[in-house]
Amino acid sequence: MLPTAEPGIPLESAIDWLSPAHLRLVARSSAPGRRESVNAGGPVAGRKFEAHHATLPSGDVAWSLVEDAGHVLREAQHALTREQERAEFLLEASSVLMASLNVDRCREATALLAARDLADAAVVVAPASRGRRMPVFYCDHAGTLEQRSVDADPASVTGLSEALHGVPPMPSRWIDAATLPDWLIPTGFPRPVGSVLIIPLPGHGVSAGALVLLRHAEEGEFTDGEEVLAGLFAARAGAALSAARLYAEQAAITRTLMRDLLPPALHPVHGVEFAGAYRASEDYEVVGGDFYDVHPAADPDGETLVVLGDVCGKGLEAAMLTGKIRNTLQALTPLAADHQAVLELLNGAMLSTEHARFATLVLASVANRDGSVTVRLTSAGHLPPLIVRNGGRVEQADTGGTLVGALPDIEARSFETTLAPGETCVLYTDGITEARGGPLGDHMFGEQRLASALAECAGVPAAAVVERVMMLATQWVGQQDDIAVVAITAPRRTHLTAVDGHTPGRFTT
Amino acid sequence: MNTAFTTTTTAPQSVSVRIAGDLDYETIDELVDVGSQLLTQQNELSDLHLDFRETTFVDSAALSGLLLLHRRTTQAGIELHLVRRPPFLDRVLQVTGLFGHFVPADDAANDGDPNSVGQASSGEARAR
Repeated sequence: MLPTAEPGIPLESAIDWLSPAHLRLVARSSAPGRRESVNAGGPVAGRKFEAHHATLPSGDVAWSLVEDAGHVLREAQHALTREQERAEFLLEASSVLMASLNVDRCREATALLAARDLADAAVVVAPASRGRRMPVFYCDHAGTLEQRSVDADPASVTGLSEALHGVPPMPSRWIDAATLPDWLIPTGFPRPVGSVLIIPLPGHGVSAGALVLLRHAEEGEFTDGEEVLAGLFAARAGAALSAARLYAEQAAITRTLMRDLLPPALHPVHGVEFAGAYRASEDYEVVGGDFYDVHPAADPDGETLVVLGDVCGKGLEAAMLTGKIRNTLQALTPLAADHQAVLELLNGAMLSTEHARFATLVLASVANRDGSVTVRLTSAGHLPPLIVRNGGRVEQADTGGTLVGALPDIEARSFETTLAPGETCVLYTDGITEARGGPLGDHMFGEQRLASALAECAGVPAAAVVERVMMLATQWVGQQDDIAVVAITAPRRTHLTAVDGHTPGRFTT
Repeated sequence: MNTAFTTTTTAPQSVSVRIAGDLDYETIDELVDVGSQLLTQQNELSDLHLDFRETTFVDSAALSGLLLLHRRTTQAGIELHLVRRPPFLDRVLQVTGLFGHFVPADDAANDGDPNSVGQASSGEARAR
């Protein structure tokens, strides 16, 4: 029963709480019959016992130890309930915090949960993003939220600047609540503040801020258990906050890039219709590897340069290379009279020893010559453009060449043609012809199907041709790559000159 | 769609990698790895054959990977042969202007389908 009690061992060392009680009992009165009752109780080998004494006829005192099973059970139940509440709280905290990827909503949720379950009021101090002003979120026990932007030195508060740097918290009792500055106390919180706990909100490598818990004066200090729970909560809140912050940063980067990388809206230039459309692959980011640009001629007689291309790969990486190529080509526009030279310069600028990332593209130099439009086309490893003649004939431009960015030497063969009024030249990327879909889901749209569809577009305005191609590709596919289309259409003349027998279809239907 | 690479060593100097399925953005890295490992592991290697007979699709990322592999084999003094090419692959190589780069003139004459003797001109016909 008493594991340390062996013959010869003093009672004090075997069961330390019993012998003082015994001595007290014996000391009260030497007369055994007049002894008062003495209550004693304490732990033996981790279990709790009550001790009852009885005086034996010999005058000796006998102690009987009775285990306080009820007390143990009550404590266990209490501890279990407390643990269940903690687990429930942490579970709720996780799901509430993870529900939003908005940083400010996350901070509010942190303050709200902490003020409701951990303290009488909670304050989330976020690190200053620019300059010195720190966003601070307050919440009282009733759930009233307040947000301020505070210009203050965190070092003036004991433990705050440490917490903002992710240093583990110091115990609450070390911080004198009376020294808290006003800006750290929610409006209407009764003074003086009883006790305060400042804990870091740990992020991924960087601090996501600090959580300040406040208690009224009449409440006790934070216990060790409460500080542990607050730390567990702060870990979850910190993870949620840094996830939200990372997401916000990513979204900002993507937004900035997209603004620059999305192809432009096209407008007629010097009487020639230009229309374009672009859609990124659904599986990846919004920006992708297909691109087009129109660099208008400075004067009506000059050549407008149209570029349409496709960078190998997908997503942001492809988009970055796309941006580089588009900038280079814009700078080379003055040299566009010689497509071969432009392509060679671009090729040289793109060559890299580390990878074989390349682009295929088509250059089109377009000039308006009194209503009919001359188009000079050069394909650098790209699908040859299609030309929709009046009457519905579709021709493939006889141009070909080496893709750019992969080989030190490239070749290119240009093709020149004239578009009669109403005729259209269509530049497109392989995302359209390689789109898999159809009745069985795995057939490619193909160049033949595209040519047949375009044959029905004779005499149709550029914007409508683009619309039609995009619609067909969308209807066809299950899964698809980036797609881009540009249509160049010669301006139609007046009705009278158009009805001359050479331009059937458009005005006779 | 499952893509599989099967490596067959026909002689110490010659290895063939059969590519079954789609060769694209998702699968090309593995082929480049397989090929690059062969270059470093087989000291006597002089000819690396990529067999496309069971290949169903090749996208631009795959072309990029093939260019990379070609660069590495050339640096190692090994010849890369693209053999049993389906018509769509020849078409891709022609549009991108890479046909001459990947298929030397003497290869083009006889690798259309090594199994069909007497059709030596088929590969060349596609080259045009």
